[in-house]
Formats: sequence, structure tokens, C-alpha cells
Amino acid sequence: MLCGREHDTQSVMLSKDTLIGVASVKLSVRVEGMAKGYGSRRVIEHLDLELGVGVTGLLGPNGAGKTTLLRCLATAATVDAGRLRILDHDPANRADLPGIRRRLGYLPQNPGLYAHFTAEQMLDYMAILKEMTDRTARRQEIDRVLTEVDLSDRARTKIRKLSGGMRQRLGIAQALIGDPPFIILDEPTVGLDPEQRMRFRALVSNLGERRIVLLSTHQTEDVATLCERVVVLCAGTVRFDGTPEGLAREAEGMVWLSAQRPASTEIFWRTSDGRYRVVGPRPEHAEDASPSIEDGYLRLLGNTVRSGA
Amino acid sequence: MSERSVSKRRSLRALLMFELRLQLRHPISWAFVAIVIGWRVTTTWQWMPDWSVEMADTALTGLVVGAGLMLSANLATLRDQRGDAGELFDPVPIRVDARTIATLLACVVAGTVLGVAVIAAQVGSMLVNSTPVGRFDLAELANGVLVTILMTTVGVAAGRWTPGLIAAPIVILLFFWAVFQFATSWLLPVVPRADLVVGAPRPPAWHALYVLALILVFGAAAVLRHGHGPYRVGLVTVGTALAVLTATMSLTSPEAALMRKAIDRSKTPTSIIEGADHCVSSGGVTYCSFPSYTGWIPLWEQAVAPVVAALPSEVRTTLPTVRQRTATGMIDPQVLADNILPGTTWGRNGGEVASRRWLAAQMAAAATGLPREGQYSGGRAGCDLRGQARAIVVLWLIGQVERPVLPGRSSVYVRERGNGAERARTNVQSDFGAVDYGAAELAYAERLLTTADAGDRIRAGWRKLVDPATNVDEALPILGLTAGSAASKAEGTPCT
Repeated sequence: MLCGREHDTQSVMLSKDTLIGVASVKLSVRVEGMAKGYGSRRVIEHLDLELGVGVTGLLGPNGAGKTTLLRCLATAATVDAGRLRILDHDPANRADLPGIRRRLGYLPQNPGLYAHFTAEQMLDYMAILKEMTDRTARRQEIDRVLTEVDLSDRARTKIRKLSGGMRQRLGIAQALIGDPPFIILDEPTVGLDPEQRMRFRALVSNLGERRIVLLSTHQTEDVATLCERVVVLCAGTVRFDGTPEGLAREAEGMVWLSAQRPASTEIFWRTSDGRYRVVGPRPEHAEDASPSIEDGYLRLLGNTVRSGA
Repeated sequence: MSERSVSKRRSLRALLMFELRLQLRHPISWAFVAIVIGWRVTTTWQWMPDWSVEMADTALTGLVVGAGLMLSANLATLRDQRGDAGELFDPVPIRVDARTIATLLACVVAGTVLGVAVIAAQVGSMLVNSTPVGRFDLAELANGVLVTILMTTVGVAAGRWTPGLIAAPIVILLFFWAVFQFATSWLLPVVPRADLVVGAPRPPAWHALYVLALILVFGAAAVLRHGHGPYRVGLVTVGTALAVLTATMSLTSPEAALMRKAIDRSKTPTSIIEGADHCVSSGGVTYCSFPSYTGWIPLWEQAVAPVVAALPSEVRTTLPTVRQRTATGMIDPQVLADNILPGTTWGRNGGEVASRRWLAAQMAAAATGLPREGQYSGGRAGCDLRGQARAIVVLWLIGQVERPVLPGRSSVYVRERGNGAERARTNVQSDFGAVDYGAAELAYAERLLTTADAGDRIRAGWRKLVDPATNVDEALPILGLTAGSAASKAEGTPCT
């Protein structure tokens, strides 16, 4: 995989220390020198990352190692090298795993929701698996998360009868069970309609006020509107770590609007007004345009996206 | 106990209750339960229960209920392995081994509840309007429940070791194949009834413990999938040792020796009445049953006594013995001549009408010199009573017990000797066997049944009336009847 020009890794520390209940628990996730591969293929190579309270967007092309990183942070996979520290626990230590998992909400890319369960059965099952043993408390929690994702009226509908978007919302709901302080969402907005996406953004931004939310997505728009921090991963290493504005600035002076189709430019596309938006060297007679996060992302990974594609 | 282990126990209990609710509501389980209850109630409703038979058959239904539960247990176990479900279930505090244990326990409870319910439904239905005979064997019924639990446990183990959905149906087929292929082996978890002799020995209580040990083995094997800890390996080892021990005890029990004897004896054909020597005499008739069927002698007597009471006194002294017979074995013609042979079934809930009518017909036929079931007059095709006066008498005698009916008819194709050509033949099946009679004889008998002095007239004219040469027209004045519909002529060989 090609990941464009080399870029200095920035380390932006955004973690905050937060008090939960009476116990002082450091709400942070730290990844130090992490490496992970499958067989002989290295997917993540010496990755350092620290996450704190707030919504962090994780961007990267397919195969960048986003899902692998999320799986390791979700304790669904172990690292080959390096060290993870999640909510003051070490996932390499078996005794620490329940402590992490009890306080973790995870929406995998393809949540294997059991099609023969109703929505509330699935959530009840997940709540039990998250050690919620009191039935009344579970009932209330299920009602809460269903309301959060606007699925209350579908509580007793079999999952196989739910639309793709509804299933995705149910997947999000299960990640919210138990109000976990660390939430990992892998492509959560896939299949959501615009209205649902807006609701989702409101929900996640609300969650991000008191929790660590790590959001992996291909939707730069979601990152721009939701995340106070964005990490761009490519070929298993961090290519950018900073604010969305910072990512947009990556394309500062490299975004243009041209009335003519550029002859040889890195990346361009035709916009709704008929002009061409160009990310790269200035074409002749082109106007300067203010860069977006998408432009910054494309600029950062420019070599992977060929013009005209 | 640490906070963590209390939390684990509570979580396990919550998970167990969740799985139990699913298992007890699973449509597949209920479909199999409905099939078993429907099938068994339908097939046993009109027959008196013989516990020696029904215990084994009821226990065998545990296999079918278990098949349903095995499928649902297997689906429950595979829930976290289908598609990308692992992604969702991996990062939860409750680990997969706890999920397996909860599913196992839920399946054991569900298997027990549904197994007991299905057996109770069958036994309850058999107790309606019944006079049960035979040995009521609780160990056999317990075995039926245990085999249901065993199958659900195997369903969980199969789900953990083989992720495919096809595994459970294959295991079910293997179970059924083994049960019917090795039907007399006491190593089977449930042993079908062996019709070798009446009251054939059944596996002892050791066998139920053997099935219990198998449950332990498969349960531990399911959990063993998640790691070979000493506790788990120990459970499998202990379970296997217990299975071997209990199987040995079962196979070396006195019951097993009796079973081997019964199997050996079955290789030499025995008389169908061998062992039917528990006899009671009443009203001039001797009734003999197999030892476990004495409870039905009063039922036989209720069907025979009114016929005997209607006979002339001199005839009552020459009546055959009512002696029970098995379904298979040698039939000596002399046994047929000397005995009326009721089998090992008797009707109830409406089915008793046919049983009573059949037994009354045998006694009436014996009294009037007609062939009885198993005896043939006029060759295998049977004989025809149409036009004979004794047809009216014999039907009237049956009428003392139950209303007589016309013979049943069925078409069969027979291959002729010599040219090998096939031709259609109508088989007649009346209460006397292959003896035919017509609507006219039946109508006269029914009129006679409403006549007050019919008994006296019949007894007075007995010799003439039961003479095969006396026709209906000649009998009418003796019987005090006026001519009604004309009797049709005999279509087959007249009964002699």
C-alpha cells in the first residue's frame, strides 16, 4: 500500500484525567510501540498513540490497520509487540481483562447481531455478557440505549426484520450498554440515512463529553463535525495526529478551483458548479480555495488516490 | 468469596436464566414436543396401556424430544460463532467458557423440564379411562428424560467442537441409526422394546446411571473446548470411568442374563401361548393370561359372559378357554381349536367396542361351530355365511355385548399359481376372520335383539338354528320373525 509522501508523526496529547465515582481512575488509553501482524504480514508497525476524553476520529485507507488497532484496543486481539494501557489496566494481563471489558463499548465493523433475536433480546444478552445481573436495571438500560438510538418502537422486532440502518443503530446501542467510559466505534455511520447520521453525531458528541470515544470511519464529514482530534493511519503507522483543522491545513495552498480540466494534477474532481476542485500544484488560471479536512486527508495520502479516479 | 467470583456467579445465573428462557420457548423444541405428544396420544388413545410396553416406548420418545432440544442447543451454542459474531462477543467480560457452561446448564434444565412434561403428558393420557397392566418402571421413564438431556448436551458439545450447522442433524441421524441398528444393545442410551417374549427384561437402574455418566462426559467435552485445565480433564476422565463402570454393571446384571436367554430362545420358535398360564375360571369359562396381564381378565369376562349366558346350558360345557397369546410365535391348530386367543392389546376410549365385539364374536363362533379368527373354512379366501340361519344367531349373540356390524372389505392383488397372472381379490375381514355375511342377516339379528323372547326361542331351537343346512327362511318361524329383506345368496364358499 502506498501512503503518499512521508509525513512527520505528530503527537498531540489530548488526554484528560477524569474522576469516576469515588475512585480516581485515569481515563486514558495509551499505545506504546504496538506491532501486530497476521502471519508474515505486518499490519501495524511500532504505533504510539494516547487517547483521552473526547471524540477521536481514526481515518485511513483500506488496509491501513484501523480495524486491527481497534480490535486490539477492544481486547478482541492481542498485540505482537509493544504495550497497551487501557483505563489503567494492562490487557496483556488476563486478570485485568474483565476490568477493561466491563468498561468498554465496542461496535465492530460487522457486528454479528443474532438475526433470530429481537432487538431487546440482543441488548439483554449483551447486557448480561457485560455483567449486568439485575434484571430491572437491565430493562432500564435497554430502554435507555434504545431511546438513544431511536429504536424504542422496534424493541420487539426480530433483528432479521430490521433495515441495515436500524441494525447499525442497534449495534451502536449495544456498545452504549452500561454507559462505558471507553467506546470504540468501527464505521458506525455505514447504512445510516442523513437524519440518523445527524442524530448519531449528536449522540456521539454528547458521549464524548465525558468518555473516550474512538471513531473509525471513512466519512471525513463525520470527523470534521464530531472529532476534536483526528488520527490518520496508513500502513500501520500514524501519519497524522492532530485537530481536524490541522488536517485541513495539510492542504493549505494546495487546493484550487479551476474552470478547466487540469492536465496533470495529483487529485481533482468536478464540483456541482461545473468547476474542478484540485488538490495539488496550482493549475493555470485556477483560484485559491480554502481546504477541507477531506482535502488535507487526500493531500496526506495523495499517492493512493490518483486523479480522475 | 471474592467480589469477582460473586459477580461471576451472578452473571452465570443471569446468563443461565436467559438461555433457559430461550430454550424453553424455542419453536424447534416445541415442534418436536408437539409431534411426540400428538403422535403418542393419537396412537395410544384407544388402547389400554401395558406399562411393560409403554414404559419402553415412552422412554424412546425422549430421543425425539432430545432431537429438537439438540438442534436448539446447538443453535444457542453456535450463536457466538456465526458470521462476525465473534467480534461482538470477544470483548465482553463474560468469557466463552462461561457462556458454554450457562448454555449447558440451561439445556440440562430445559431437557429435564420438557422431557418430564412430555413423559407426564403421555402417561397422563394413557391413564384416562384405562386399566393398565404390566410393570410401571420409573427408572425406564427417568432414562427417557436422561436421554433427552444427553442429546441436548451433545448438541452443545457438537456446537463447540464443530462450528457447522449441519453437525447437529448428522449427530441426530447417527443417534437414530444406532438405536435402530443395535436395538437390543444395552450400551445404547435408550433401548427400544424387544418383542422377544412377553415382559422381556429391561435394562436395570444401572443403565440410567450410565446415561448420566455420558451426560457428564459430553458436558465436560463441551467445556474442554475452551482449555484443558485439570478440572475439565478430570471431569471427562471421571465421566468416562463412570460410564464404563455403569455400562459393565448393566451388562453383567441378572436382567442382562435374562435378556441373553430371551434372545437365544427367540431363535427357536415357541408357541404363541407359552407363559399364558395365569388362569381364572368364571361362569364356566377359563381365562388365562400372561402374568402381567391379569388385570385384563375382568375386561375379557365382560365381553364373554353375556354371550355364554345366552347359550343353551348344554353348549356352555364345551366352550374353549380364553387364553392370551403373543403377536409372534408358532400356532398349533389344536391350540386354535381349544382356545380363543386375545392378544396383548385391548381397547379403551371407544376402542374397547371393537375389542369386546371381537372377543364376543370368537365365543359366539365357537358356540355355533363357526370358524374363528385364524381358522379357515373355505380356504384362505374364507367362507360365506349368507343365507344360513346361524348367521342370525351368531350376530345376535354378539349383540348381547356390542352391536354387530357388517364385515370390512379390502381389495388385494394376488398372483395366480401356474400362469403367474395377477388378479384382484376382495378380502373380507369380519370379527370371525375371513367369514362373510350380508346386510339381511344383520338386519334379522338386529330385529331379534329387540325381541323380548328371542333368547328363549334361540335356545329352544338351537340345534336346528346352528345347523349349517338350515337357511334363513327356515329359521324365521323358529325365531318368531317375519320375512324382511331377502337374504342374498352366498358369493363365496359357504361356511360348513
